[in-house]
This record gives sequence, structure tokens and C-alpha cells, in this order.
Amino acid sequence: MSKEKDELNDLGRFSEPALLIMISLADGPKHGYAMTEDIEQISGQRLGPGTLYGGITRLEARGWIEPLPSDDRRRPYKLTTSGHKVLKHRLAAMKSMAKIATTRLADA
Amino acid sequence: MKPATLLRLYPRKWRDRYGDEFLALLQDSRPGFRVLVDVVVAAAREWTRVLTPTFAKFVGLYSLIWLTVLGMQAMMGLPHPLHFFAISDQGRFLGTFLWSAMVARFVDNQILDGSPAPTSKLAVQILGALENLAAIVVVYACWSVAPHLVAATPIAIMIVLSGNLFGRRPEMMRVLNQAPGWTPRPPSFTGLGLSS
Repeated sequence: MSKEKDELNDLGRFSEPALLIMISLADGPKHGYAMTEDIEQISGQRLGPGTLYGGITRLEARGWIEPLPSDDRRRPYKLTTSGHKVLKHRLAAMKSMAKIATTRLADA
Repeated sequence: MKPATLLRLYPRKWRDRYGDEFLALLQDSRPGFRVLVDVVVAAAREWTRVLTPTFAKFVGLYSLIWLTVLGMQAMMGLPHPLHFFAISDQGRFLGTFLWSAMVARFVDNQILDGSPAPTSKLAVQILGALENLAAIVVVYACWSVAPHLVAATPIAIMIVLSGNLFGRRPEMMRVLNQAPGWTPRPPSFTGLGLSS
């Protein structure tokens, strides 16, 4: 198991919101409200402001996302190179898990 | 609850960094009970993030010091009531210091935004006095209700409560030293070699 994947799990309650935030930022920088809307579209769940910023705080502290300069109060964030790696690792692990689960369901 | 009020639930350091953008998001969000609960829980988690490392470190350190003191007192073979009062009296001083520190921290973080004012002095004095009163009540209640448990109860309370002592002390001293007309009381545990 990779170090990056372990670290994402270390976010505890925030690991799922953090993953959703990273997925949301995968196609380009977004500010908080845009992330909330995007995450609701892709996952069907609307993250509360506290949960969203809890995730942002932890992702920024680990250097996986970074803020961009903005004249507006709505500050956009983008994935960093290491954040990109972490996301890739996690998605690969999820893909492999989904494959195993699908095979097992078919065999049952 | 207003967005600005919700923001105040967070530690000051967090607000300094994320306050503006978080406020903008709160103003864009649909207000409701769900948002309120979400922010309250998230703010509590930010506080545990701020306090936990210091708390754990000093609970460990202070537990060790306290156990050493207890061991020394036990070896001195003091008569039971004297032994008990020696323990509880130290706890009273430490409890006062702890409360003062916690209150100063809270006032500094949530009300004054780092600008000490007489409010902090008053709050510290009031809660310090309340703590003293509570300590005396606990001591007498323990002694009269269950004499054989008198030593155990205050020890447990004091170990837990005083764990945060040194973690909060620098902030406390900073706030108190800057508050107009306030002369901080010197620490009562100089005998332990812990004063600075």
C-alpha cells in the first residue's frame, strides 16, 4: 500500500470529503461554492461549509492543494503535483477494489 | 445564526487564514439547521486539532510530576488528614491556574481577537474565584461522604484538569501582562521547580 494512500486514510472523518474535493479540483481550480456545487453533481451529496473547509484545511496542510491569488473573497484552490499523485493512487486502488467486487458478485 | 457568529466558533488562527473565504461560502450557502450543525461540529474539530497535541504532551508530563509528588508525600508518612490537605491544596492552586489560562485563552481567541482588555481580567478573576469555591466544596464533600476515597477523587480530577496547565500558560501570561491594571499572581508551584 502506498504512502500517499495511507495518508489520505489518515484524514479520518474527512477522508471522504477530501477525496471529493480532490476529484472536484482534478479538472481545474475552483473556489468553495463551485466545489460544493460540483461535488453535489458528481456524487449526489452536498457538503456542508464546515465539512468542506475541514477538508480544505487538511488538504492544504498536507500540501495536496494550494490556494491561488484572488481579488475576490472567494479564493480558488488547485491540486498540487503531490495532490495529483495521491488522487491517482487512490483512484487506482478504488478501481482495483471495484473490479474484485464485481468479479465476486458475478461468481456468487 | 448569522454567518459572522458561526465563524467566531473557530479558533482565531483558523479564522485569520480562512475567515474571509469561509464567510463568503456561508453567505452563499442555503441557511438552515443542517448548515448550523455542520459548522458547529467542524469548528469543534478545529479546536481539537489546535488543542490536542499540547494537551496530550502536558497531560503526560504533568501526570509524571504529580505522581512523583504523591510518591514523596506517601514516603514521608504524613498523618491521613494532613496528607489529604497537602494534595488538595496543591490541586487548588493548579486548578486556579488552569482555569485562568483556559479563560484567558477563550477570551483572547473568541472575544478580543488578540487585543486584551479589562474584560479578560474580570473573567479570569471571576472564574478563578469560582474554581476556588468549587475546590473547597469538593474537598469537604469527599471527606465527609467517603473518607476512604478522599485521596483518590481529587487526584483524578487534578491530573485531568491540570494537564493543560503549561500549554495554555504562555497565552495566559501574555494576555494578563497586557491587560491594563493587571498584575499577574506569581505561580504557586515554585517549590516544584516549574516556574519560569
